[in-house]
Parts: sequence; structure tokens; C-alpha cells
Amino acid sequence: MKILVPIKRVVDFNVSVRIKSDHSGVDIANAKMSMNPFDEIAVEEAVRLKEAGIAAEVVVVSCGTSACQETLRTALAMNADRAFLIQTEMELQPLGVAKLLKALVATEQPQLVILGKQAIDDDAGQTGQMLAALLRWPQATFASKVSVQGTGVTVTREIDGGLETVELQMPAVITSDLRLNTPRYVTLPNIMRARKKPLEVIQASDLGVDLAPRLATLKMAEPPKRKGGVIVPDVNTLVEKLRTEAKVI
Amino acid sequence: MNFDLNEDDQMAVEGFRRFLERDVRPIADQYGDVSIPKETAHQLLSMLSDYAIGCGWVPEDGGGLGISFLSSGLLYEALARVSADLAGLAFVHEGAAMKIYRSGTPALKERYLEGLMAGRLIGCSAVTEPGGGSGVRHMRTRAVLEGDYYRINGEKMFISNATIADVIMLTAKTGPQEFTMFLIDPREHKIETRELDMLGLNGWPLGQIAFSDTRVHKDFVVGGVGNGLRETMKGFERARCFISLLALGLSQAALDRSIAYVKEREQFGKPLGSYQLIQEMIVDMATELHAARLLVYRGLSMLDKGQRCNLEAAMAKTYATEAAIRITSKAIQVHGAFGLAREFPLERYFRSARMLTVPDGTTQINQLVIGRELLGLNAFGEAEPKAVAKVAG
Repeated sequence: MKILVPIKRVVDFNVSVRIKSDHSGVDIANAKMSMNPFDEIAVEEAVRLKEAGIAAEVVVVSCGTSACQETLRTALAMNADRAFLIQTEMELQPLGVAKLLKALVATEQPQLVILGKQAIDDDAGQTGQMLAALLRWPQATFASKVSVQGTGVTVTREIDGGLETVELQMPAVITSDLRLNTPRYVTLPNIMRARKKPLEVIQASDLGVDLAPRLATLKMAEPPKRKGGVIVPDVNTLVEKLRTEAKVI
Repeated sequence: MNFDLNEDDQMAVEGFRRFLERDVRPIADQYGDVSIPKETAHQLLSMLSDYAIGCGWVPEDGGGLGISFLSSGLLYEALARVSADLAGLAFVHEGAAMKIYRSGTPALKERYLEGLMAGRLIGCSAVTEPGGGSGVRHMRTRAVLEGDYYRINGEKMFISNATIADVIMLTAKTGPQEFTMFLIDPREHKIETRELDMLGLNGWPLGQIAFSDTRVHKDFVVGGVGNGLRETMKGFERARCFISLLALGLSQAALDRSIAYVKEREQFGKPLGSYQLIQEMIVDMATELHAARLLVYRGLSMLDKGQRCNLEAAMAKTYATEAAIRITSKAIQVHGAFGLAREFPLERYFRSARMLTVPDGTTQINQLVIGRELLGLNAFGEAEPKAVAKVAG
């Protein structure tokens, strides 16, 4: 069985970002970049399935500029087998990425696609779902447990109401949640071994996919500074303020 | 001249740091002033071997990873920032494996090399004696050949890892001006060890080793009879660079804490770091650390190129270790009374840094090495070794 894991290069979770002065976006000029943490979890899950003898091959893919090769090499150092860079300078949005991935799925024919549930830069949480819809494959999102049996996969999902367990027929799309696993750290020996693994660059323009953005960012601003609280003398005043000022009841 | 780390090293250090914070720090923090016990040392070395610590220097044909000294140095520096004691334990241990790889007989390599690199065996080197540290040639430990066995008598002092070692690379006299290296295996060769209590780096086991008519088969000779000093000195340039990494790690840990502290701590309504005299201390600490780091990396780089780097290694060691004392001392000062309190690690960083200007060539010896390299004039206060050998016969 082959597993495809799409990964995204994002601003490292430790970095305190700043908004650009023209409010058009976030200033990531010299920011440290890393693999999206949920994608690390996805790679880890795929690699564990390989190491357990359930999957034969783990292929990772990233869409974007050539800088993404660094992120792909980290995945290879985590014991993925092959990597693809779908290269483009264009701004990518979830629908565009899902279409690019669909094109790769057609050639690679994986039984499972495991993605991170969302990227920590845009928090969109859409790519996995859109990909499943485009492919007309079943999907199980926010996975905290994955187990493969034969041609099916059982996934426990973390949802607002609690834990939901679903059974999917493969090929299927799964998105990983935080508690699915704890990803391994890369070691220098594995990084060195990863240099020998294949990393293929495909031009996005060669895939015949319409990548024009469907969304335009109008403004990016910091959230309003938290104002200090107010001490109220009694419950009636509290209820009054909740109704008229905070307008939550 | 490229001052950037290559991508592999950046990734490796990043991954290693995350592993250190999560898996090593919780254990290492318990051994600030308490000697790391043998089982814990085995556990840690085994975990670290995945990350090329302990098995990085030995080339692939010896079963090691054969990474560059610079790559290894970067990893050791990251380790030293979390625990200089553990970093010291590890690099001395790795040095023993390297000696066996370079100069051991096939039989010795077969028996000991793999275990050392995996952390199942712990290694160390014993050269220094109560009567001779800087004066290596004045050592008294004597190995006398009787049939197929050497009878060894003497004492080694201030030996890192001595009390937990399974493999001791011993240098002893086998003749008037003749020195030979032996592999001592405490399970086979009867020795006695005693732990030493020092000013700092107390997590790093340090001991005295006594040989009393210890019988060692001649198969345990390493590098050939009479080649002991040459074998010993081969590792000096490397050792100087690696002990400097401990100084860098301690200095960085002290600086990190100091920067965080002066940004947060307020006096007279402003952060401590907004006062000029505090800034001066931080600035001096950071500048010296950066300078020391470049000297050390340069030494490592030259080792990788196979170039002799007596001068550069000696400069790096002298500067980094002396600077670490100044840096950790300023770190205490910046923290005020909290810096003096045992509850905080600053005073321990200072005591540990103070330990580093003595081993692997005291500052003074290294200065004489530098002087001799620069001037071609020997200020060591004794005749050139070669001349002594001719006279003694």
C-alpha cells in the first residue's frame, strides 16, 4: 500500500509574527520556517504504518517555491521514501492545492492520503476535505487514531461532541489531529541518508491546473488589545452588563 | 569564506535540540551537582548514539557514522548547553572509541568498538597522574613485561569517567623514555577507582585509578609498544576543540538566562536591561561568546581538512575557557542575589566554567604552545623532547 502525505512549509510555531505596515499580510521576510506541526504528525503516522509493515511506501509532496525542498528533506529524514515538489511562485490557496494534489494522486495512485488537519499560518483546515471531494473519496478528519484492516481503515475523530469512530473503504483521505502521535525528531544520520532519496520537481504549470486565487485578503490586523476587566458590585449589575455592553445574552 | 552552516547541520541541530529539551533535560537536570550514575550514563549514551554522539567520529568502515568534526561539534555544543557534564562524559567516551579505531588491533576492535559506540560500554583515557599533569613525560605508572603479561603499577589522577568506565585507554611507561598505550578492561584487569569531589562539573564522574601489580596481557597494547606518547598527543588538537564546546555551551546557557532575566526583571520602574551598565555586561558576554565560537569552529574546520591546527586549537581552548569564566561570572552579577543562590543554576555554571581552564592543557601550557608556534621559540622551560631522548639513551 502506498501513502501520500502532503506537507506545508509554514512560519515556525515559536516565531512572534508582525503584521506588515500596509496591513496586506504578515511579515515573514526573515522568519524561521518549519514543517506545519500537524503535517509532521501526518508524516509520522504514515511512516509508522510503513514500519509496521502495513504500507510499502510513503511519498511526501509539497506545493510552492523551491524553498519547500528543505521541508521535504525533513520528511525524508523522518523515513519517508520519495518526495515531490510541485513548484510555483503563485500564491496558493486550499482549493488550488487540492487540485494540484488531485493531479499527483492520479499518477501516484496511493491508497491513503494523510494530511495535517490545518496549517498553522492560515488555519484554513480545508485542503484535505476539498481533495476528498474532488477525488470523490471518503474522508475522516481530525483523526486521533488510525488503524488499517485489509482494504478498510478505522479512524477515531475528535469532534465537538466527543470521539467519533468511522470506518472507511480505501482509497481514502485522512487528516491528522494533535493527539494522533508524537512525531520523531530528525537525527543527523537520517538526514544524511535522506540526501540519497529521490526528490522530484514538477512544475505546477505542467499539471494544467487552474490556480487562480478565489479569495482576496482585504486586510490583516492584530486582534484588539485586551482591555482590563471591571469589578461589578452585584449579580444584577453583572447581568445588565452582559446584556447591554458585552451583548452576549 | 562561508560562515553559514550547511542545511544538513541546521536540520540536525534543530532536531537534536528538540530531542534534548524533551528527553534529555529532565534526566540531566537531576545531575547538576550529583555524579551521573553508571546506568544513567549508559541510558543517556544509548539515546544520544541515535543522534551521532558517541559514534560520530569513527568512520563508516569502523561502524561509526564518520560525520565531520564540525557537525559533531555543533551537536556537542547543543548538548553542552543542556548539560556540560553530559557533553564532557560523552566526548571523552567517544575519544576512547576513536583511539581503538585508529590504533587498536583487529581483536580489540572486534571486542570493544561496537559496544562503545552504542553506549553499552563507557570509555575514558588515563594519562594524568598525581605527580604529572602538564609534564606528561614525567609519569611514573610503569608497565613491566614479564613473559606475555605486563605488570602495571602506578596511579592516575583526575581521570574523567574513571569510576564508570568499562574501557580505559591507559598511557604508561614501558622503558626509560618509552611510553605505551594499553586498553584496560576493569572486568579483566584488577584496578581500584575512587571518585573525586571537585568545584564544579560534578555531574561528570571524575576519579583516581590505582594499579597495583595489575596483570595485563600484551594483546591489550594499542598502537604498538613505544608509541604511547605519539598516540596520546594525536588526540590533543581534537580534545582542545571539544572541551571548548563545553565552555561555549555553558556560556550560551548563562547568556540565554541573563537576556531573559534583564528583559523581565524591573527595578525603579524599568526593565533591568534598559540600564546602560547592565547592557554593557550583556554585550560583553555576547561578543566574547561569538568570538570564542568562531575560534572553535575554525579549529574544527581545520581538523576536518586534515590540517595541523596546534595554534588554532590552542587559541580556541584558551580563549573559550577563559571567556566562559568571565561570561558566567557576569551572568551571576546580572542576576543579583538570585545569581548567588544555589536554587538557580547561575552559580553552578560559574563553578563548572572555572573547571575548564585546567584540563586538556592548562591555559598557561596552551599559551606556551601558541607562543612556540608564533615565535619558533620554546618557552616550556625544559630541553626539547628529542634532545632529552638522545641524552638519556
